[in-house]
Amino acid sequence: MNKRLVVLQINGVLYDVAILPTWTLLEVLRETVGLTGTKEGCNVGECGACTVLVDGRPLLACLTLASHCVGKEILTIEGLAKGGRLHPLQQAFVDEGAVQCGFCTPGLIMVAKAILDRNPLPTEDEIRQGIVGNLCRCTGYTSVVRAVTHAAQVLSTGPDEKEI
Amino acid sequence: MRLPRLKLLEPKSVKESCGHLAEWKERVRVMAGGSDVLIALKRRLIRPEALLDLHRLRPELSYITEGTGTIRIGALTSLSTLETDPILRKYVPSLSLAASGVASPQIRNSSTIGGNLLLDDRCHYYNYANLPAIEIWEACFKKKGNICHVSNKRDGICFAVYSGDLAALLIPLGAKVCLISNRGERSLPVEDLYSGLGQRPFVLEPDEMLIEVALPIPKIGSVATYQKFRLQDVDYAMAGIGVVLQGDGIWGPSSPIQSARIALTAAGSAPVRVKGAEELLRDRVLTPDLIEQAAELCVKQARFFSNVHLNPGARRLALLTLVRQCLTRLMASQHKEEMGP
Repeated sequence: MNKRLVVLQINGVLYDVAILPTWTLLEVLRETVGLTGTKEGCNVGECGACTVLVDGRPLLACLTLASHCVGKEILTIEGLAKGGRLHPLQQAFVDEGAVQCGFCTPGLIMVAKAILDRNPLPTEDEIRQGIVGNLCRCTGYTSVVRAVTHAAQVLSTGPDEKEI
Repeated sequence: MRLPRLKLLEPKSVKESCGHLAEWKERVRVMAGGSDVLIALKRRLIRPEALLDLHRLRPELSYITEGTGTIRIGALTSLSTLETDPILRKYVPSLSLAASGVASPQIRNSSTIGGNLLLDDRCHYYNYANLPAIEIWEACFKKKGNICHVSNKRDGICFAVYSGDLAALLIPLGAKVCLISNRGERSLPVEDLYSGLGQRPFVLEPDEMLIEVALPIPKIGSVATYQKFRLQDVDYAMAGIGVVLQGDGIWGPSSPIQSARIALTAAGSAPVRVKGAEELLRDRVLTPDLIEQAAELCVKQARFFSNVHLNPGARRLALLTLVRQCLTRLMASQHKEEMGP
């Protein structure tokens, strides 16, 4: 089986990578490109730790073939912070105690971003429905929901949308 | 757990896919969204020589159209598209709601209606046979061996469970699937897609693929819903029921039921039509007593074994409760109102 040379756009950066067509996006992100923020939890699509955004939609990197992502915009946890400043979601997770062991955190933050991109002020129920695909063994999800709610408020009153 | 190195066929058209299927037949496994097949490959439950990867067909086979009283859905339409599509929301909101309850948002983004209909049957003794990367018990019928660990018999009967969600609603909705091969096309009611055999759940020939689901637009005066029980929201259904009731004119609490169609999922190796309950409800008005009788009939037809996450007794109780809740809420429903999963 021969490798293919493909270009993957990850966090706004173009990466030339030689990959086997059967490599998953998770393997390529972590092992080929070296972006280890995306975690391998179960490898079978049950835990959500490997959630990334592809063209803005949350997908499980462990069940996505990397070669299917050519020509698409991949966003990982590493792509959120800008200029050394945490994204409001990341900051909210820290502030609200939603990070304990931290293993589920990248996946949860990516899916939370997808929720807020579509639904800027979600209800608690909408947040909980949105994160059903992400397991957390530490927090019991309460602080996670609080963090997403708080981030939603921060984002909706951000510099672009401040109401006078 | 890595995917095995196997040949990847990436056809650019349905015609090319059919060509591959005609050539490779049983030696190839078809992959749509991948959320079922990739796991089976990682766990080495299936060992095809090649994978027919349909991702390049997505543009061609992702559509939802409405015309001449029929809604047509391309087999590679994602579940998240079904969730939000305006045509479905207008004419068959129960289907949108059913799709919205499958697994997780991440899985709904990649999985497809065709893949959901063709979800492989599951059984603990099959799905977890390779977990420590060695065979920890004798290969069962579904693994092409000679025993069933549920029954402990060698009679060829496999008790693997079909737990796809959409079939249980598409069957009562009267949906049909279009299968295609180099030999031509054929259309089947969704109900006839299933063999009832746990080890080989679908009637597709080795050279066939599913390309479209078509359903009649529900008539005025009909109500429909799909309800399921599972442990965590993201889990497979442990019991599920799809119901379509056709009333005469505007549906109301005391509407006589012209016809009822009921199908169960996670209640056997194929979706189960509960014709007994359908007959019971015909030309009747829903009452609590009638609902109770219908629930008993559903549970009688369901087959629950100790081979999935929830034990049979609890699944029986879950199904009873689901039927009661389903029919009670439909009894109170306004015209075409649906309830979520």
